[in-house]
Amino acid sequence: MAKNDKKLTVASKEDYTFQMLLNDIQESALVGEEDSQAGDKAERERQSKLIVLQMLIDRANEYNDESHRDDEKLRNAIDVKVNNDVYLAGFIFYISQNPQFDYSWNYLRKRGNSYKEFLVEGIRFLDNVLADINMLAGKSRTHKDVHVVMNDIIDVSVTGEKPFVKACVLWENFHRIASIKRDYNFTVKSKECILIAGKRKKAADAERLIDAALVMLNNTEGSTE
Amino acid sequence: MRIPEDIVTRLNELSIESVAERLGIDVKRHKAHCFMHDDHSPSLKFSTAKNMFFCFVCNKGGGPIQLVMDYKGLDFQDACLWLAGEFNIIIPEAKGYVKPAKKAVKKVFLSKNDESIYSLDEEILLWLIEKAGLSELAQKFLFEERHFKKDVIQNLNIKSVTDAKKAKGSLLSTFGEERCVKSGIVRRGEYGTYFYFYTPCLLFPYYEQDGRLAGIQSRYLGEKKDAPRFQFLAAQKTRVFNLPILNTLRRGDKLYISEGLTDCLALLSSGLNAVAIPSATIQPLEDLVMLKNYDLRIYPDQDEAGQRAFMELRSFFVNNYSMVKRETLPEGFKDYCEYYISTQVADGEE
Repeated sequence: MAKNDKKLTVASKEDYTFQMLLNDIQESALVGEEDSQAGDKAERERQSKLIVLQMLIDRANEYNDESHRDDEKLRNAIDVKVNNDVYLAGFIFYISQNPQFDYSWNYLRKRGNSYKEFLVEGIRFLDNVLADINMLAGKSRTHKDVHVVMNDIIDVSVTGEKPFVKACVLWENFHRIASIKRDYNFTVKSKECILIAGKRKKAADAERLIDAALVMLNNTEGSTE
Repeated sequence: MRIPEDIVTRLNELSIESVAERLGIDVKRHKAHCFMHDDHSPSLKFSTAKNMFFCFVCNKGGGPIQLVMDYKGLDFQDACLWLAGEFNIIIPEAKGYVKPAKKAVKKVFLSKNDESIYSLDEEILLWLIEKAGLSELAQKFLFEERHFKKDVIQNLNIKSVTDAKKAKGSLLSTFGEERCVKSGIVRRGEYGTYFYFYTPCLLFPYYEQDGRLAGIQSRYLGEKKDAPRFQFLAAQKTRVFNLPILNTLRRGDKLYISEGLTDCLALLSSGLNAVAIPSATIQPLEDLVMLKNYDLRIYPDQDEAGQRAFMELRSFFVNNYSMVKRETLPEGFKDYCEYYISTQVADGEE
């Protein structure tokens, strides 16, 4: 909780916010914890996974303003933050001195660049996820079985109460976070049945897929009556 | 050296309250005691919308750079360099810049207001708590209005002060003026010395886990509208209230974290284990990390600050491999204390 971190925006409208996303994910971790049969290891790992997700959501919220819409500006901002994180620099040195890492300080320092790109893509991924969730909330309030899975990581279902959507994490697919990109697989499901799936490159792709899924559902309901 | 325009803009875009906190100004609910005049009630206001500070007494204000200039007594360039250093903003021409030593601060009431001149005097505070009693007004507030349990108040050593002059007189005659002033419990003002806490008030002692006294918070019980409801001594750090309870708990035991002391007293009076952060905006992280091995619960206040504080605390504990669970109040209650009082009133009626 760094002092200069921008505070998470508390919802003032009906919009689904990063705060709500974080809250849903933290709650889903709690549910997972109670259901866990795998013991301590799974619990510890879930905590570590939650820390990574929380870090990404906090960063996405921090840079969720006009001045960081441009990729170059976002890259510069991330550059400044990572380069000036003295604890991170010290940690990279510290772990590189472990013989198991073959004294790979230089290698680890260079990995810093791809780490920054991971942060940029992670932030853009979450920006897009939030936009898609809000779009879903506005479109489908009647089909309660509909849920959308984004990049096999975030599963958003439709609920009957404000904000009409609820997100959770598919923890078993968490490893996909490491290679996350702003473009992602977008799957619309009804319960366990896949209605439609496609690549989401821009907001219109997500909207098209949801519209198509809703048409399918409406047709199915019409034909069964 | 000239500070580039875009850097000046960025510095002035830094959150005014973050800058104030970085300077050591204790901002509570967008207000603080003014550092430019002898201020007894917070008259320094922070506008997050305009990102500015303003003192209505001094009729002076401005943005983040101005705040640093006024507080640290620096010129424009040094204030920019200080801010850039504090917030990791790189000024191309400032490579290798060394933070300037703090210059003499241009304050009219330097001797009275520079918080760094105060140092915690445990002996004085222990003496004050030991000598203080619990006035009728305090008892009415604690037991009749709030329905707190007497053993809880007794165990926490909560006391009250009614007569400020008497309290000041006893302190000065026992410890001498210099020592009392240095401790911050007595202050020097335009008309001589005065007891720091507004009276009548309750005194809530903050203890370390090992029982040493770490500070005192007051809760004003009078009717002056401009008096601050809560006050802390300048010499003390913000801490978690009721840390000694950890000595009675085992790893994994349920522990409630409340926002503010009254909720904490209500939780304790309900027979629950509880500690308190002083307010939604004051979170003593180094104390909080000591709680990570317990089964942590919060009843968040039903307002925006309460929800925000809950999210921040939960995120903090997630980063420390722990988790805080949200407990929900029945509908219509804004905080746990209000709910607790309603249960006590209902029990009394039965």
